Amino acid sequence: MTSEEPIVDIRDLAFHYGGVWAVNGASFTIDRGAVTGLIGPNGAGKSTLIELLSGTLTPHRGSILYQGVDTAGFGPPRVAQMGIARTFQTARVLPRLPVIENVMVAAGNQVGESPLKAIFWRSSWRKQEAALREEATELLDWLGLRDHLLAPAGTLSGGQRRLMEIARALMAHPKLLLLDEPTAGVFPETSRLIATRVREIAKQGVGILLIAHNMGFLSTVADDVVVMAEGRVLTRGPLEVVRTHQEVIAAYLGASNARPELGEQVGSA
Amino acid sequence: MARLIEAVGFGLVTASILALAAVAVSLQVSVTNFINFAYGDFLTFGAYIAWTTAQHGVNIFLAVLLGGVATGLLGIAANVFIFRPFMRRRVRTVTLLIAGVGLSFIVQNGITLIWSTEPVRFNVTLGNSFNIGPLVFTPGDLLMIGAAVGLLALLHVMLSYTRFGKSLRATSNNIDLAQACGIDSDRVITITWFLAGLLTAVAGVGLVLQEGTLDPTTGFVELFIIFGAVILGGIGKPYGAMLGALVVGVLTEVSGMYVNSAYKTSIAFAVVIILLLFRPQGLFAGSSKTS
Amino acid sequence: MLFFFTDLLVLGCINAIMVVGLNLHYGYAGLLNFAFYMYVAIGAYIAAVTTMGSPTFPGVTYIFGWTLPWWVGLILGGLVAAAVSVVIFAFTVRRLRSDYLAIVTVSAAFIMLNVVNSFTPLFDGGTGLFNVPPITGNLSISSEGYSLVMLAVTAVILALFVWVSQRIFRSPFGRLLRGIREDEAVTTAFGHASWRPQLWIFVIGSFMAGIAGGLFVLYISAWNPGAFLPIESFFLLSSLIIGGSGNYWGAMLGAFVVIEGLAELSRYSPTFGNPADAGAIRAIVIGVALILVLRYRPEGLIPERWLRWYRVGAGNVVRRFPALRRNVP
Repeated sequence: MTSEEPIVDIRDLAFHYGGVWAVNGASFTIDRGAVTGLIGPNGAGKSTLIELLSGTLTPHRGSILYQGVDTAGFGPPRVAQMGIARTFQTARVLPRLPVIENVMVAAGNQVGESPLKAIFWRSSWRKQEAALREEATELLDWLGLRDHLLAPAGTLSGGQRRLMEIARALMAHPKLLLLDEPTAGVFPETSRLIATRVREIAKQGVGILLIAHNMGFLSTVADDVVVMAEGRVLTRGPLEVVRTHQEVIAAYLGASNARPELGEQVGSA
Repeated sequence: MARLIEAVGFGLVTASILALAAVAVSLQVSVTNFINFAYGDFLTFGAYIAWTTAQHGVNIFLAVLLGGVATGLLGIAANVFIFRPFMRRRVRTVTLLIAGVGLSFIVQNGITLIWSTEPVRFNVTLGNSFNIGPLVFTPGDLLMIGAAVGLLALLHVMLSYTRFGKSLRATSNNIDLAQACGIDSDRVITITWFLAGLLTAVAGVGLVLQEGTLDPTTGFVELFIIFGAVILGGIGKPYGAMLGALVVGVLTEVSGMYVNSAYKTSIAFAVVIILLLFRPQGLFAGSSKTS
Repeated sequence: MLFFFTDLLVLGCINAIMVVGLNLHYGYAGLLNFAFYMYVAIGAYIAAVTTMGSPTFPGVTYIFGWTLPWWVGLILGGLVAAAVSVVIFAFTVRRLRSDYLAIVTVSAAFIMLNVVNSFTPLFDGGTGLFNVPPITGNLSISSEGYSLVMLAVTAVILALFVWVSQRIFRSPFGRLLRGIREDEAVTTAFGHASWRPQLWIFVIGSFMAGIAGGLFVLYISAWNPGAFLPIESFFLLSSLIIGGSGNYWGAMLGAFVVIEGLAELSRYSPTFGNPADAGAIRAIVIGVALILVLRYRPEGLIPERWLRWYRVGAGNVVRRFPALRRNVP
């Protein structure tokens, strides 16, 4: 855990979907260089929180102080330009484009994206383009996808897509990384690879918020976890401590889709 | 003022024609969820079949019926050979749209090959116009309105009280759920195409009687006015389509009084554009089929 | 005989310019526009009325009449078409789903047709414009000679536009457009607002359409509403889809084969007694081909070729990771 200011300070955040409060007064901070897990039963508001942080949704109450600036109400492009990147709960790829294009599209400040420069002034962006391609290749190699650089992203398996999503998010040089169930439906080896990589990313100083349900994965990757239930933060602390917390156990077992293995793990000392 | 009421009267006739076609489109959209761009040409096709059989001395009413059946079969063929294979593969809406365009090429030009581009007329005189109060009608007009009302009433009965009608409403509401309840949605869709074709053909004949002549492009031009009525009533809502047709029909005729009639088509299209831009769910609030 | 071929090629090039422009809209950016031909028509009319003199024939009325040089009129036509496209874009493209967009754009095309037909002071209504001055000015030249001149001009312009298309395709701008086309949520999540690149490509494509229209009218020296019926837009779109959307080779193939080839074939073929029949058969063939392509080869005859470019451009990648070599297609 670093002693610097947290990268984002969420204060009393609230959002409702047509009268149903998905997030209702959530407050916590995320530190730089740390991996903060976000757990809670289904319907606790975790994914909604990610949507709020990424700018897709505008909160009905509260503020998101990202590096001191309240980003509540900024749209996704602006939030992304400020250095927040994300992955999606169901991996979203650009199916007909090669994997390397999928990743390169996420880089910011591409000179060649201006139409006039693209057509008439190639020398202004050629070097950057080559550098971006190198970087994308290295990232994909780092995430184990070097054999799939030119494959259409639609042909990737679920696990490969999740790896690609991480490479893509890194391409944006984020200061805050939001990972929404990065190991859902993924083989154990891939899960281990993702855990290793996530820790390495955090070591570079990136603040990471990570939603996950698999306690095993979380225990290897998260520095501490925030527990949400019914739109609020129940508690926060290291995973082993939080698991035995009375209210947390109640929230999981009481939720309509209680997960037995979770209850088991949560309840054990 | 008298002229205005007269225009409203004409509007009712136009509305009847539109209503049949608009309800047909709405029915089909409600169960298949895409707009078939070839509908205008179905209209033309039905009218031509009716005209050909009438030319051979068949009673006009029978001719219209034959036209309706033929168009219904055309609709089924279109579904079986073109749209259903696409829908089974869950293609994007755009693909279905363009497939509809391709079908439109085929139907419209098939008509041209068989019947040539020479405009034709129905040799039917249904009496002279007479007055009902301030409104002016010909017997043909009244017949058209009567036919429209009658057919739509029948449709209403079918939708509300027959088993098929219930299956149709279920399928249009949620096709997967309907299938899970044991409804054979394929059959529902096939029959819907047939019904839509039938209604469209009657509308086509009515259109020709109103406009005077028939040529291969007649239906295609009318298509977007029909879309206007459908959208006004809420896409996929047959009852809404009836009201939409009424509004569009009357509006078109009334506006023709105040604006140079040459621009009547432009006004109709402008209304369609404004509707889609600002109120795509139609004039009547409530849940809509649109996503 | 030479005239037959050069005529074919000139019209083919002009149509190719149109389809290359449409490819920018639909192939590169995924923007559906069922009324693309409107921009062609605008370009044609503007080029005509700015290069002709004031109306001299009795009963003929139209605006402007500035007798500008042909290339000025041509460029003006492109610019006005582009300007109109901005208006249409602002009102429609970002706000409507595909089927509504289709209806709105075709309705706009019908309105344009109706207004031009009815409001004669604008472009002389249904009769249209005649005697548009040829680009060779007062030089006396045969039809064959003029064809050759126009062929040179149109071929150069086509090559220029193809070059522009290629530049766009291989640039980050092109990549961004493809990304927006595939999944807008992703590109937005990574900092790219969609409307600006889409507006740009829309304008460039419409400009190309306007230029094509101008070239058309300068070649055949007449233009009237019969030349831009809404069905023409559908033919353009069909030829793009059949040829292969998303790349300019497919666009050109579609233009030359579908539009020109079939049209010329049916026009000159002696088997069909009634000329209208020939046109109808051509349309039926296009309709059937369209449906077949959509069903069995949706990417078109020539698919998007990014793979090939990346293989060429990724040379240093292959050098770095020799293991990759066996995976490069």
